[in-house]
Amino acid sequence: MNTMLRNFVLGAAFAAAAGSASAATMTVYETPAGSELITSLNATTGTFQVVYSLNICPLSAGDILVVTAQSQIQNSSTTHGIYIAAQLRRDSTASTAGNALASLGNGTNIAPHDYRLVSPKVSISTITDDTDLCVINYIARAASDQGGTADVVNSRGRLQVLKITPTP
Amino acid sequence: MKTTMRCAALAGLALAGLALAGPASASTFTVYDSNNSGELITTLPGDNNWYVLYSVDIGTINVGDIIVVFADGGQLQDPTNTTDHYLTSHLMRATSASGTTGTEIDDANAMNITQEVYRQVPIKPAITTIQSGTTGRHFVNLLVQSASGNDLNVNSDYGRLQVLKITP
Repeated sequence: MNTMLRNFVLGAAFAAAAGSASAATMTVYETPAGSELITSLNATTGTFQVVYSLNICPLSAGDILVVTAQSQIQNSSTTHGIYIAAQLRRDSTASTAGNALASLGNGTNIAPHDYRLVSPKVSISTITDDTDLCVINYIARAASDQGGTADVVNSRGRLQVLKITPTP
Repeated sequence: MKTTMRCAALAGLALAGLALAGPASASTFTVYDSNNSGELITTLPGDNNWYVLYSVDIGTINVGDIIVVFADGGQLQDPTNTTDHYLTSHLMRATSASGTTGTEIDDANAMNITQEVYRQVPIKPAITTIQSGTTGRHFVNLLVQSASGNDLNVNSDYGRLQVLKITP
């Protein structure tokens, strides 16, 4: 084979090899300041409510999600404690349903003199199915025997997602 | 014919150049998860000793690997609501799921669980690059310690330990 022709064949082979090793894509999504969807949690019903929601569509099987979230929630009562729990979930809309991204909704109490609490949540997961569930929700609930509400403070938290699509 | 071969050679060299300029290989991303009910203890004795609450097996590692660790450290609570507790948590790279010593991934730090607060969730995030100590198999462990003299209950299925290993 002619030397020049051999160079072409080798060059094309190298290029093909490089093409198969394309880099992963990484995309960051973030709720802007002041994006709290509610102003209070109902401690009488004690049900989960969506505090932050983020659309990260489209999702593919094999995508990796690194999720961080935090909020500031305050006890509107100074006479009794209140239980606050938070969770990260993945659904097709802003909702409290869908697939859990990490643990169940663990929580802690805000004692009357503690007054306020930051509830950070973190999660790392690989998408294996239900790729249509591409809305990430940070949900929280308050509960108290005395009822009442807990205030969700405006512009005191965020929901942030790093989506990694590994090399195919 | 000569012109054609010259063009082919130039094209081949150009493609070879592109191949050399492009990424030699893609990064790999691997997620590890302690999964539901991954708690390794049901109570945390208040004896000032370290215990492994969650552990994930991250297999083999190499110098230069990046480890992103998120621990949503379960829910630990006083069984009688009559004792104040001092709860410390720490992320450690160890050689077994029961290892409480090894290479620190973060610093140990603590929180109080007063009688009023009653329950707490230790959240531990960390990002580190592997510098040394790569021999054998590796585990990332979330360690907890209480110095109260009394036990804390560890609720089942209330937390996770998740790790993203990036090999650049």
